[in-house]
Amino acid sequence: MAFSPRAEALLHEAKRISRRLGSKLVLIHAGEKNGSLEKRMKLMLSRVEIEQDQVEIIWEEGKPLDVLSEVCYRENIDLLVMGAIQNEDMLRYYIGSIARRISRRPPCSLLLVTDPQKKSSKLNSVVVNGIDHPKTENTILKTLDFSQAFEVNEVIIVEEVKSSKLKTRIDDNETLEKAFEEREIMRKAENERMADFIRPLQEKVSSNIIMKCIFGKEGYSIGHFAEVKNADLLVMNSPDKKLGFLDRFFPHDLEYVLSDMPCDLMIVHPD
Amino acid sequence: MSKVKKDRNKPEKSTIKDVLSGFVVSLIALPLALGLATASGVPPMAGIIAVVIGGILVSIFGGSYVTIAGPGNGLVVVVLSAVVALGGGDAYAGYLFTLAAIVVAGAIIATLGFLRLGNLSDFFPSATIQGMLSAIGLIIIAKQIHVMLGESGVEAANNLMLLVETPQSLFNLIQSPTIPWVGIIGLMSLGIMAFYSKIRGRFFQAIPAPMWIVLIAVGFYYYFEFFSKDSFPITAQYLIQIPENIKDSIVFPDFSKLGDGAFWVAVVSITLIASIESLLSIKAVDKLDVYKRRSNANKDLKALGISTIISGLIGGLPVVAVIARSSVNVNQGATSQKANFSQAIFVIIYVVLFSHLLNVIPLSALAGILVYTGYKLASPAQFKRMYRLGKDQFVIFLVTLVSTLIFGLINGIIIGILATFLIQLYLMEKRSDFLRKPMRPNTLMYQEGDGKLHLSVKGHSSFINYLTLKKHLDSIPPNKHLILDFSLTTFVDNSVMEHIHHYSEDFKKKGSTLEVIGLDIHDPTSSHPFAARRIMRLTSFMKKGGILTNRQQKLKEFSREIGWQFKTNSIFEVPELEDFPMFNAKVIDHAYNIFSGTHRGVELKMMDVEFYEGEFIARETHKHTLFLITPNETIPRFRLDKERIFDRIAGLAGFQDINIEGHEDFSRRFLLKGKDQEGIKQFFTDELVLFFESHPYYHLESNGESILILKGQRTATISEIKALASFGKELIDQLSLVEK
Repeated sequence: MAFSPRAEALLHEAKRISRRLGSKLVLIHAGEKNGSLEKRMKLMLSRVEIEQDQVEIIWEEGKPLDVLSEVCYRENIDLLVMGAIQNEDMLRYYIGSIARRISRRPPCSLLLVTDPQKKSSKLNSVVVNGIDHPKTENTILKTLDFSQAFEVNEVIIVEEVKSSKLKTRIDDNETLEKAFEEREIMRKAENERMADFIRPLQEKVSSNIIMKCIFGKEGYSIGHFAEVKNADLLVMNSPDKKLGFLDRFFPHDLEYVLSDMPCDLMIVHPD
Repeated sequence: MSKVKKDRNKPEKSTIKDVLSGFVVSLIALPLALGLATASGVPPMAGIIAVVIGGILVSIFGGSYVTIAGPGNGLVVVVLSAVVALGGGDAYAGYLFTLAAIVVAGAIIATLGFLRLGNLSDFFPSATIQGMLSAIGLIIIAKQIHVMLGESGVEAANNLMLLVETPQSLFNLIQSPTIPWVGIIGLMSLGIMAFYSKIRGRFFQAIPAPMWIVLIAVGFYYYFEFFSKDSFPITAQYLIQIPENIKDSIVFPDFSKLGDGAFWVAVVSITLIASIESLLSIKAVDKLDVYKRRSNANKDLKALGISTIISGLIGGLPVVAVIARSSVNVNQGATSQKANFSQAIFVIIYVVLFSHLLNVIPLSALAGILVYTGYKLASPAQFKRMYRLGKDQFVIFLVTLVSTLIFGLINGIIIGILATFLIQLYLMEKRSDFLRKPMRPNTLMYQEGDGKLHLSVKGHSSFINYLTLKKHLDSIPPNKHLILDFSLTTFVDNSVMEHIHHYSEDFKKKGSTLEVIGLDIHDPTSSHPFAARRIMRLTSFMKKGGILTNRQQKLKEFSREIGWQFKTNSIFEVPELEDFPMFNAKVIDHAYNIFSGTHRGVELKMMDVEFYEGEFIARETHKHTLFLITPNETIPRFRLDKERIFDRIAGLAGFQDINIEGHEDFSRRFLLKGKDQEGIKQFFTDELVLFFESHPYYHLESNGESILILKGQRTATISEIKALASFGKELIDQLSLVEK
C-alpha cells in the first residue's frame, strides 16, 4: 500500500477481491507510521467505504521489497495485490520497479493490476497457462476458483509447446506435411493430457473452459495470446528460481509477460 | 490424408521434354559462359567448367527441380575485382589466386547449407538487394561497353568514370579509318539482345538470342573465309581464345595467399553474392514451376557449394543457381533436373566438337550480351519501380547503389542495411520499445475453433525480425486458411509487405488463402508513415488515367461506337483470369483499359493486362491485350493454337493433340489440347471448325467458364483491337447458333 495517485482505485479493487473470495484484507505499508499518513489512510478507507474493523493495517519500516516479502510470509498472506504499469520505460525496466521485482521472486501469489478501476467491471475471459509442469495443476485449480467467484465467462487454458520440440524440419512439400502431422499429433496429446485433468473439474465451474495448444516460445506466446484475445486476466505459474538481472536481457518465460503486460497478471505461488 | 495429396502433386516427368529444354538452355549457356568468363578477367573455359560441373553435380545432389546452375551475372564484378586485387598486375597469377578464393567460398556456401541457413537471403531488405543488383548491372555495363565498342584497355579511376568515357569510345568507333568490324559486331549483338523479343517469326524465335549472335559471328568469319577476297578483318586479340587441347584449360588454384586480407575479402564477397544470387533464383524459380514444387534450398546450397569447390579446383568460376536460364528452362517445359544435366552435356558436346569455331567469335559480340544483361539489372524501369515504392525505399536503393559503386559490394550492402535501419527508426513510432527488444519474438500462431489458422504479429515487423514470421508462413500446408493479423503492430516495413504480397500469390496457387487484416488502422492520417506511403502509392496508381494517352482516346471513341463501357483505371485483382493455363507460372500485376459489354447476352471483356514472371534478376514483365468471353453455358477446358514443329515433338508427352475427324486440314493447322477429349470433340462442331479455318489465327484458351482470346506478345493496336472485337462477336454468333 503506497500513497500513489492510483492507490484509491487499487484499494477498490482489493476490497472487491477480498469480498468475492471471502477473505480478510490486509494493507501493508512499507514505511514510517506517522500521524499525517494515518490520517490520509483513514480518509481513503472511508472514501472506499471500508470499515476499520474489516481491515488490518500493517506499518513496517524498511526496504519495501523486504518488508512485503517478510510480512507475506509472517502473516501467511494468500494473495498480494499490487498496481503495475503496463509498459515500463527502458531504464525502469532494467532497474526494476517494486512490483516487477517482487514478481520475480514472489513470497506468495501475486496479482498485478495494470489499470485499477474504482467501479467493478465484469471479467469476461481469463487466460491461464497449461504447460506441462508440476505447478500447473495448482495454478489451474486456483484460477477456476477465482473464475467461479468472479463469474468469469470463459477460461482459456493455453498449453504452450516449445517449437524446438518439433523434430521435423520443413524443407520441401513432403516435410511440410510431415511437420504438420507431427504438430497435429502433439496438439492432440497435449489436449488429451489437459482434458484428463479438467474433466472431473468441469462440473464444478460455470465458466466455459477452452483448451488451446500453441507452438512457440514459452512464456511469450501466452502473453501475446492474451493480448490478441483481449483477456482480462492472465494467470501464470510462479517462476521456479529467482529471475536475475541477466534474464531481463535474455528474457524467457515470465519475463516476457513482465516486460510487456497484456492485461492484469496473477502469479500463482504454490501453497 | 497426405498420401493422396502427394500423388496429386506428382508431376508427369518426361525425359524427352527435359532433354529438349536442356538443349535450348545450352544454346544460351554456351555464349553466356564464355562472355561471363571473359568479363570476369579469366579464360573463357572457366565459364564452361562452371556450366559443366554445375549442371552435372547440382542435378544429382541438388534440392531443386527446374533450376539451372552455372556461372552467374552477379559474380562477374566480384571475380574481376578479386583477379585484379590478388594478381597485382599479373592477370594469370590473379586468376590462380582467385580460384583458391572460389574453393574456400564454395566450402563456406556448402557449410551454410549444412547449417540450414537457406533463408539467409530473406534477411536482406529488398531495396538494398535491388540497389546492389543495379550497381552490379552498372559495373558490368561500365566494364563491357568499351569492349563492345571495340576499344581495349580503357582505364579509369573508378567505375563511374569508366561509364563517363563511353562517348569517347563511341567517337573512336565512328572516326575509325578502317571499317570498325569489332564495334559493329558488338553493337549488332546488343541490338539482337534488345530487340529479340520484338521480332516475330517462329523460325527466328526458335533459337535464343545469344545463339543467334554466335551463329552470326561464326557466319561472318566464314564469309571472309570462303566468299570474300579480303582476309578476316579481326585480329586474334579481339577474339575468344580457347586452347586447342581442352585439357590445357584445366588449371589448379594457388593457395599461397591464404594469409592475405585481400584474399578473404574476395572469399566473403564471392560467398555473399553467390549465395544471395542462388537463393533469390531458387525462390523465383519455385514461383515459375508449373507443378508448384518447393525446392529444398538448403540441399541446393550444399550442392552448389560442393560444385563451386570442384569447379574452383579445376579452374572454373563459382557455380550459382541462375534465374534467366532457369526461366527459359521452365518455359521450354522442363520437369526435372534432367534438363540441367542435359544442358551441361550439350555444352560439353559443343566445346569438344566445335572448339575451333568458337575461336572466331569476337569478344565484342559477347560484350554486347553482357551489356544487355547489365542494362536489365539497372534499367530505368528498375529505378522507376523503386521510386514508386516510396521515397524511403528509393533513398535506401540509391544509397546502396552509390555506396556499392564506390566502396565495393560488401561495404555497399552493409551501408544499405544501416541506411534501412536508420530510416525505419526515423519512421517508427515507439522507438524505445523497438530498441529495447529488436530481436524479441513477435509472432503468435494458433488454430481457431473453426480450423482457420490465426497468425498475429506484434510491435514492429520489419526485415530484422521477418525470419520468424517467415518460419510460420512456411509451415502452412496446402488448403488452409490463414488470417494474418497486423492489428497489434506499430510498424510494418516495406520488405515485409512485399514478402506478404508474394506469399498471398503462393498461397493461392497451392489452394490456401491468406487474409491480411489489421492494416486499415495504419492509414495515411495515422502516425505510421510507412503505411501511409504505401497506401498513397496505390491511390496514386489508381488515379493514373486523368490524362488519356492517344491510344486510350481512340479506344474510348471505339467503345462509344460499339456501345461498350471503357475504363482506364487499373485494377489489381483479376480473379477471372487466374484460372487460365497461360497464367500458371505468371503473376498478374494489374489490368487496365478495360472494355466491358455484352453481345447476344454473352458477357465480353477486353483489357490490357500487365503480368510478370521471375523476380529480381530476371523479372520479365509482359503486357498483353486479352479478350474474355463468358458464355452462359459451361464449355470444356481446351487450348487452341497454331501447330508448330516443336509442339509436334512435345505432343508425344502430356496431352495429345486432339484431331477432329473429317477435318484433317484443321487438325494439321491447329493444335487442340485438353483433358476431356470427348467433350472437346463435341464442342468443335463442323460449323465451328469451319469458322476457325476461315478466320485469322488467334490463341484460344478455355477454363471451363470463359474463353480467353489473344494474339501477339504485346498490347494490341487499335486496328488489332477492332479485329479482335469482331472476331469475338462472330465467335459468339457461331456458338449461339450451335446452341440452337
